[in-house]
Amino acid sequence: MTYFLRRILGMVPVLLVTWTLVFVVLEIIPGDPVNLMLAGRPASEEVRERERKRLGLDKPVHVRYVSFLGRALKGDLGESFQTREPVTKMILDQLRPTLELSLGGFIVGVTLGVILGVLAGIRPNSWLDTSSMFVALLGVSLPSFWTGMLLIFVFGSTLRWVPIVGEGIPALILPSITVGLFLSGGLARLIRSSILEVMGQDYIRTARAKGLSQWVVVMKHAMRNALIPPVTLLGVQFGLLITGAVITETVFARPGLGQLLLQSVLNKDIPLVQALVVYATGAYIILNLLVDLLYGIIDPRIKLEQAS
Amino acid sequence: MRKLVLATAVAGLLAGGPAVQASDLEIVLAEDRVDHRTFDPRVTQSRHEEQVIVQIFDQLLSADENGNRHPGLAKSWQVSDDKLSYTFQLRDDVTFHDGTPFNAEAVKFTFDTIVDPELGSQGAVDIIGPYASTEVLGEHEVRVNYSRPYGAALGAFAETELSIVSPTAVKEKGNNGFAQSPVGTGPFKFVSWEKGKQIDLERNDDYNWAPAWMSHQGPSQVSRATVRFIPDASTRVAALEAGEVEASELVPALDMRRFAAGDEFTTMVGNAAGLPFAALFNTSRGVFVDKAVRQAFMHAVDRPTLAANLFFGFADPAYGPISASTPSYWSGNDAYYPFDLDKANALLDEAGWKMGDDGIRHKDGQPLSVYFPALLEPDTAVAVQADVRRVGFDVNVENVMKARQDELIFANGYDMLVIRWVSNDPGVLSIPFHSRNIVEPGKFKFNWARYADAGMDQMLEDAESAATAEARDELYAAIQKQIMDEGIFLPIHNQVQTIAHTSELTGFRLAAGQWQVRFYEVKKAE
Repeated sequence: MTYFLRRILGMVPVLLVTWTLVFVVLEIIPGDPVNLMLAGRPASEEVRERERKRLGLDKPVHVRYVSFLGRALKGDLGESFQTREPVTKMILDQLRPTLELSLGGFIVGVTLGVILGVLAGIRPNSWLDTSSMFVALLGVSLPSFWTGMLLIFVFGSTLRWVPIVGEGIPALILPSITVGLFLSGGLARLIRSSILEVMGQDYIRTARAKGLSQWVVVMKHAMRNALIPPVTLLGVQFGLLITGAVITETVFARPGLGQLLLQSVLNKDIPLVQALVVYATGAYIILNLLVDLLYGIIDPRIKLEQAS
Repeated sequence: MRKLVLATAVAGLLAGGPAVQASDLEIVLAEDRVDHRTFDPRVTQSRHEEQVIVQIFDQLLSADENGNRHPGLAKSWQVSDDKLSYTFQLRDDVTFHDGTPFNAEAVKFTFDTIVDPELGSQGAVDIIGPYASTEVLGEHEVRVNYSRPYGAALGAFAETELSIVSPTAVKEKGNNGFAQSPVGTGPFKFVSWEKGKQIDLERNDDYNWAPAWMSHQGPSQVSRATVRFIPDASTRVAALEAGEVEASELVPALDMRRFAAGDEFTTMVGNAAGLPFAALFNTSRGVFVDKAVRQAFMHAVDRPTLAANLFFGFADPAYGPISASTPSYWSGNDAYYPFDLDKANALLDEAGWKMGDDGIRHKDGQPLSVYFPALLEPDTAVAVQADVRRVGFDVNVENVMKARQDELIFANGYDMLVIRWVSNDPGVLSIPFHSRNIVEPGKFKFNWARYADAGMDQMLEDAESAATAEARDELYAAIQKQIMDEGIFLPIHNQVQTIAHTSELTGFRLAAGQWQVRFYEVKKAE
């Protein structure tokens, strides 16, 4: 229990540093938030001045930093410059579509990655290995906007099997494949090398000697021991997904945190960017924690207390 | 797949109600933006937000797609002799979507709140001009007073930004709440807004006050309309072809050409009013300080060929400081600066720029170089670059982001910049050409030519407060002529709104300013 407490408390300095860093970067990069908000449309000097005051931009940097931080510590992350809505609400609104896509992509990616990785790992240097690794290479190399457009062209416009921008699960299929393909590539390669390493171990020879079938040897004995590196990778990649897959979101016109983050940075919507940073940092820290926990479950030899 | 359902046609006929057959069409329009902020007409200045607002709200005066003004929520109006007051007789048969009646109080409330700093209006507060007050003369009569004559007033009352809002709804929801779920008197009611994804609207069954110029009266045949935000142009086109959306805006020219050639889809092009897509020359630094150099540059750009090559005939070349679809356009513009390489070369020779061996002109050891940061349409900038290279200009085009462009504007670090502006009012010319709009430290403005001329300022101010339409046209003609004579503004092509929709439907109509699409008259094609 103390381990968890320590990890959670450890979040505070990390959050503070990232928060400050992002604040400083947003100050440095060019662009006037008021002007970006008006998107270059006509507005008189009076309107601009009034908006500047409303957003608190008439105050010096350090004053804004302190008041921002003060409010954030009280749990109030402020209102978006652009929409005047509470930023926490804006993030919560985009959480569901983001989690849907993350989960969909994750399922596709893990399934495909495990299949490709195992096929390649148990028959190294065979044609099965070569072709699996070729598919994996394609997965990591092809940019999402290209795979996305290709999937739309083939399965959306030409065959019309699945909707392109529709509703519900069917509309989730193509974006999930787009995200999943990318995810599966790295995963498959890692599983392959991990399995290769494990398959050379003594206990695999022992299991074989007991007369166990290939399936049981691979799935029960080899896989479990080969899982640690892939799980670490998946933790990081899932972290990326739940902070938004901006290209996939754009191609498939899906709402999500990626879009929100992109727009907020382009518009210099400072409260929103800051809130998204808090969310992303928090999400990463918690995911890391979960991954550490998983280590213990996958391999009981790993004890959390020692690991810390 | 959405189906076009003809449901209550018979019922509509039996009831003897609307003049047209009622039906229950469901339509989806693909829109290219995702970052909508508000649907309060009093607050917005975004033509994307107005795509939704035009369906939900009505205005005192109603403007058709060519900018002609007709009675709207006001049946008639009179202008006082001193041009300071406008009296409106309002329709007495109109209700807001929340059931409350539209009346003089609603007009007063709308206009009074627009000028209230509390609201944070970004567009309407400028459009409403030197507003002083609104007097309620009766349940259905109001008088709007100005502090000085404002010739653009009647045009302003037809602008989407001056739509009349439901005072009850604003008071109930507060300004921020109203921006998220607007209530008007228009043919469609707001249903829901899924952030970053779509807006859903439903038919206003009580709607019986369509402006007389529209093709039918009574409620729309469209029972449900969705504006779906699809930022990627290829995805918009794919969704249209797959039948997932009925119409799409901002369709790429290549796809427009394909659709126009087939039967399955119908194309529509809006020539947006306001400033065309153009470049402003920086008159305060570099080679463009010399008027002859600016004029030579303009003569060297082959605008018809550029428009044909880049837009396949879907965008016409532009020749004036405002586009030809804007009120008070001066027809003299068309003959200015024809493509003429000899003229361009002669002007540069005369100005002392000698052609070097590298094909670039030089003068006093300095090359004829131009720094051209291009925020929009970098391909157009590159076409311009290639054109003027033929007469010895060395143009350095850089594709920049908005924030970087702002920085360059403040630092006066550019020779030319692109600009465009959708507006139904020639008064838009003040924005880039009045000297008070030259950028100052910390104050972002749009006179990027850094052009300061007292005569121009005076004419722009006089035109804004001109008492009659004729006087206004005359002043704006003189303004346009001077801008062209000075060679500070290179019109390139019309800003176009390229729409494609399924040929199963008809009746999509552009709103005034030719950017937004109205859903009200959409019906099944015969």
